[in-house]
Amino acid sequence: MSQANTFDIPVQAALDAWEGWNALGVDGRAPLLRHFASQLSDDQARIARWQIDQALRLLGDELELPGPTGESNVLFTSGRGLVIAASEESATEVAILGQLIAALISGNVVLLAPAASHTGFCRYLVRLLVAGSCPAAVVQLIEDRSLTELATCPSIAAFALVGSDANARALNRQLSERDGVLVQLIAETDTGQLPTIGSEHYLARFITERVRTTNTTAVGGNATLLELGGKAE
Amino acid sequence: MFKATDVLNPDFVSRKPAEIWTEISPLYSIDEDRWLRELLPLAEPGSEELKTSTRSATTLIEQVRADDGAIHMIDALLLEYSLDTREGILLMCLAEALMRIPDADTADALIRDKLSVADWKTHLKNSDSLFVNASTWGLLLTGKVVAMDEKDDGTPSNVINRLVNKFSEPVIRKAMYQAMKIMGHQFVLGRNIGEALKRGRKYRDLGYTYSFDMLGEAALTSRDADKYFNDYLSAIESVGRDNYGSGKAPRPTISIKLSALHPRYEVGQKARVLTELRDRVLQLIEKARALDVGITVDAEEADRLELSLELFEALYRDPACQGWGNFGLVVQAYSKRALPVLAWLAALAGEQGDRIPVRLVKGAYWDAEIKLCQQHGFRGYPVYTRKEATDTSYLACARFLLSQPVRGKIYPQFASHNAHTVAAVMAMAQHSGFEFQRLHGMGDALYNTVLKHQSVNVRIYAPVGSHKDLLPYLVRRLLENGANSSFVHRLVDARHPIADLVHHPVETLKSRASLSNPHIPLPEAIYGAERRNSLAPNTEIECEWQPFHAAVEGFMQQQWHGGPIIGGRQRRCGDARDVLAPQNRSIRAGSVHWAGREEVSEALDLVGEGFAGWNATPVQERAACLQRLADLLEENLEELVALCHLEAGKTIQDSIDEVREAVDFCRYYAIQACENLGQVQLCTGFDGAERRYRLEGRGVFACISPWNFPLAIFLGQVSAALVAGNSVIAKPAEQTSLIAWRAVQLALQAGIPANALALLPGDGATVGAPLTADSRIAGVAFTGSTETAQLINRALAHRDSGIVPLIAETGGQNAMIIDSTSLPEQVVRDVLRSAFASAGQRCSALRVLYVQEDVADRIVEMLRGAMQEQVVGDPSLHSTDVGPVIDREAQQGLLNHIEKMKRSARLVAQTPLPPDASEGTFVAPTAFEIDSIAQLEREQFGPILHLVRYKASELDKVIDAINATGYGLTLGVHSRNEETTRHIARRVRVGNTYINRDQVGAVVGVQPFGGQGLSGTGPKAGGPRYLPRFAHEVTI
Repeated sequence: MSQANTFDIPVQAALDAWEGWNALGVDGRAPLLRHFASQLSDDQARIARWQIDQALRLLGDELELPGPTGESNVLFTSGRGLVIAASEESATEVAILGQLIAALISGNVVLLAPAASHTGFCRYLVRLLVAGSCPAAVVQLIEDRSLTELATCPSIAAFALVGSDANARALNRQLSERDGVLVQLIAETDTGQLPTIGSEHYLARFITERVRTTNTTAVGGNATLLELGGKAE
Repeated sequence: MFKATDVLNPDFVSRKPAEIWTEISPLYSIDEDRWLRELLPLAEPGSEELKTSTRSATTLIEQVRADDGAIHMIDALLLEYSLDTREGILLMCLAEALMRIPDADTADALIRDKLSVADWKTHLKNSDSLFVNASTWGLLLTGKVVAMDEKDDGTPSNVINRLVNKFSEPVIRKAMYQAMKIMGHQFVLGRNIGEALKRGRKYRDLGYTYSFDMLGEAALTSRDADKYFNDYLSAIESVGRDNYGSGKAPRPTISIKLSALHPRYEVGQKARVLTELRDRVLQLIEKARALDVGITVDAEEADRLELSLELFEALYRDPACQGWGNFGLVVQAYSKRALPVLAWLAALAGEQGDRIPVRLVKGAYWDAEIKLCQQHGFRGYPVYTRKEATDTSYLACARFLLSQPVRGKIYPQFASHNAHTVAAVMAMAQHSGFEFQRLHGMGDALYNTVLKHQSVNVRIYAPVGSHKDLLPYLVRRLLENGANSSFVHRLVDARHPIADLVHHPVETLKSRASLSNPHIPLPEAIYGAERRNSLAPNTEIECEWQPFHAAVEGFMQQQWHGGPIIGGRQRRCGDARDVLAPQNRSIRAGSVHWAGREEVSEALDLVGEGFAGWNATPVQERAACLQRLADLLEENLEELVALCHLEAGKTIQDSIDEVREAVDFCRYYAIQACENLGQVQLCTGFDGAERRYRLEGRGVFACISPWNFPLAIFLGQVSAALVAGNSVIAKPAEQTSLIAWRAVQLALQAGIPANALALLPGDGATVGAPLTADSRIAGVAFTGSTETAQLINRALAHRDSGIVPLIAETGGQNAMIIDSTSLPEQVVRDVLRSAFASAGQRCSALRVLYVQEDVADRIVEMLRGAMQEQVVGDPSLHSTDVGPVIDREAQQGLLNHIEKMKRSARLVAQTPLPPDASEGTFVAPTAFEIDSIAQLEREQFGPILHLVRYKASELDKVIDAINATGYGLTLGVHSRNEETTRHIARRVRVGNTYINRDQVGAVVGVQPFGGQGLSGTGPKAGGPRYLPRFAHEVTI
């Protein structure tokens, strides 16, 4: 049996749960995750709330793009899919939370894979989340796996890591050997200052952008020109 | 320029028609204010005329209002269901689609979709018209049900929602069909010409005469064109035999729509139009003349105006027409070219001596014309942007048509439902050699009054044909030209002061601050003041096509000799490789020297050194270089188009679009950079601390681009990387290095420093591999195959340096889903473009068409017929739809797939290849029917379409199958059911979803482009999140 198959059960459950979780949108997930944050200590809650606020500000709204008349163009975001959120011993609880919430609020389903020393904390987080914020398959705990093992997990879209630079590079090398989707490595290697997790551009790594273009003349929605034609000056 | 008032000079129409002809095209999109100032004196009434027209318009309206039964039929419907109400639009949407849906489930779903959001009950009893109330009753099922429900719940929308939920859907559907039948009966005079003649008698007794039209959708196939031809022919025979009434009213005529008579009635196919279509119309003329039935040619889109006139002249001058005087046409007053067209017609009639009947209309494609120009980046609009400007033009044209020199040459037919227009025309007329025209079902009250009080002929333009075919068409025309409905409102609304209705349009127009409408920006200004839309000539218009074409031709013999550009100098390393045209391997466009290892290393050194200086250059200066580059690209449009023809085998429109996209990229990124990069950003971190940072370049970016958009994607990547502060090494595709080389020359000319940008043409092994393995590369932008993206990713990961961004845009297995509410003609047109434009060599191109089985036979038949009409050939010819594929290797792969599919799937259709196809690398557009998208292993990057039938009940399985491919680039959806489109768009995991249109041709800043999964990493090119990925945060 290949290594990959040992992931089968949580992976399939997570993939099945993704569509529903993603469809909630940032607006739908924000109150659920706020509820979760409200049960954390102040320090922990702060980064969780910060990520939620960032998401509402940066990803929340559908953006109407300018274009020709008789057409609507909307840019919006979606989660990338299944994300591993791994952390090494050196990761702080704040970093683990910041990473986890970023992945969740953006619309991903998460396999939370901490170093052994953080397992207890992560188990606590998963329990809280599942109790009041999201279905069990949306965030699942994976215990006792090395980065090398995790990198073989099938169907992942992104791999988030809080850990050392050397390990991040090794992981990146291993991920690059995979066939199929180019798995995004989102690594925070400054476990003290968290410049990556704390950046305004961090969330962008967890999303994929979508555009919906609708020809509104086809169904008679030509109200724009009618209004313009008769607009008072 | 043509001086408008000159037309009244008696000498003017005595000129040769060919002389006046040259005045037409230049007015295509002339500056609106300037031209209206020319027209105003013609439309302006003298004080006596103004008094007369105001008085008679007032009298007319008073008489109409005094008549109790004034408003019926469509007028009444439009009055009640005005198109500025949600219910009005929804009712029309339902009417547009319902009757063509063959399966009950989809019909029910559409009804539910439209009924659930509107408030129908308020429309009940507001109107006295039996017709309106019958429609409303249909919508509300029965009065009894409504009354019953009203007792327990007051809110009308709840009532409807509950009704829809409560009652069995077949009952509701039946009621809706009843309502549609009533509407069809009102919009359409008869289901066949016999019925129309019979139903028309009532009006002929009142003194009206008719012009019958079998109008419908434009024909996309020869078979449909044959059908319309036979319909016209039999209509002419029936009308010819009809002897009803012998009063003074003129004989009924037939109106024909040229786009229904030929599958390719367009400028690119002029040769066929002037032979095949001409012969076809001649047959109608001969029959009509023998039976004394006049023929009027309908006007269509502005792009076809000049072609229609050429065809008209050929027919008019034909012996079959000479001496007849009953062959006429329609002229649209909203067209800026209307007046010289009329003058030309008068000259033509003067020269030949046969009267030309001319129906002057305001024009019915206004929305579509505006949209088209904005999409294509034309310089201006062919139509006026204010209603009063069109009315002014109408009166200017009327004055010319009624003038003494035109008398007897043109027989004017004034089509309008506006009381003031009618009064103004009568005030102008010094003779009675003209008539009025109105639409069947509209303007009854007005013209009944006119007939009662005036001695003038009135003709009714009446659609004839099956309700199923015609109602959708007529309703769409109404929806697209909703402004028509406004006058009828005010005409009969006693609260509306008559004085407002009889205001002369010239006065209204002159009272405006600007003659053109400031709320409708010119095409170049649709993105606001700061970003100019890229411009392009309209190849369908003589005065724009001729100079453009001549300039492109001037470059078609040129030889370009390119090579690596390092430090601003071109290298002539190694052997030069010939660049041969994909459409004809014996045409040589020039040669390119490929870079070797030495050049790669030199470029890395030089551009590596250049980074610091360029990154330190203020972002405004970097952006200004891009803005200058954009302007240079536009200035060199014709040369770049020629290069696109010769090196990439691109068609004319594809080549123009290619340059436009490159221009848009440069301008968009320039503006994005100024907004988001460079200046210090302030943010509050999660720890509450304030952080100040700036986005700066990362270092040397490698930009590796494909051959399918050799200029647009090439420059899109390069300009984004540059403006973000990176220095760039660009590796173009081997097949299209010349155009990249020319683009880099222009970039350097625009001010990009020589040490910030190097070009390394060459193959992947020599150039790509060493670049991506070099630790100095700080990021890669790549567009191409998924496999190559993986190689690059590995090469980057295996370096002993940090992790850097790889922005990869790769392939797709793009689907389109169409359900049975969609309009087949629209679907097939969009499928052709999505699957076969650019010979299918677009990442976004349609590969798998999912068709609901209930309509599949009709779609397949139409697709097959339309594919027969496609023209494969030399891409530099206007007549070519599909050019070659890029090279032998691509051709062979595609041909192998076709062979394989021939064994395992059903061939639906294949477009014929031209006789000289073997000189280039052509692949015939081909469509197969398969069982599932899962049957396809990989993307076939060419003109091959796969079609799958699906059951409406299994839509979600279709979506799952599309998602299961792992690709996620584009998706097309055709459905009139908004709930269905929402559902599909939500569930299918793709980067770009296109609803009710084609799925190719994403526009920068409008449709940011890029996919997910196997289709790419994001962020989207041409979107707001693209540039930051090329930069990194530097804390200050």
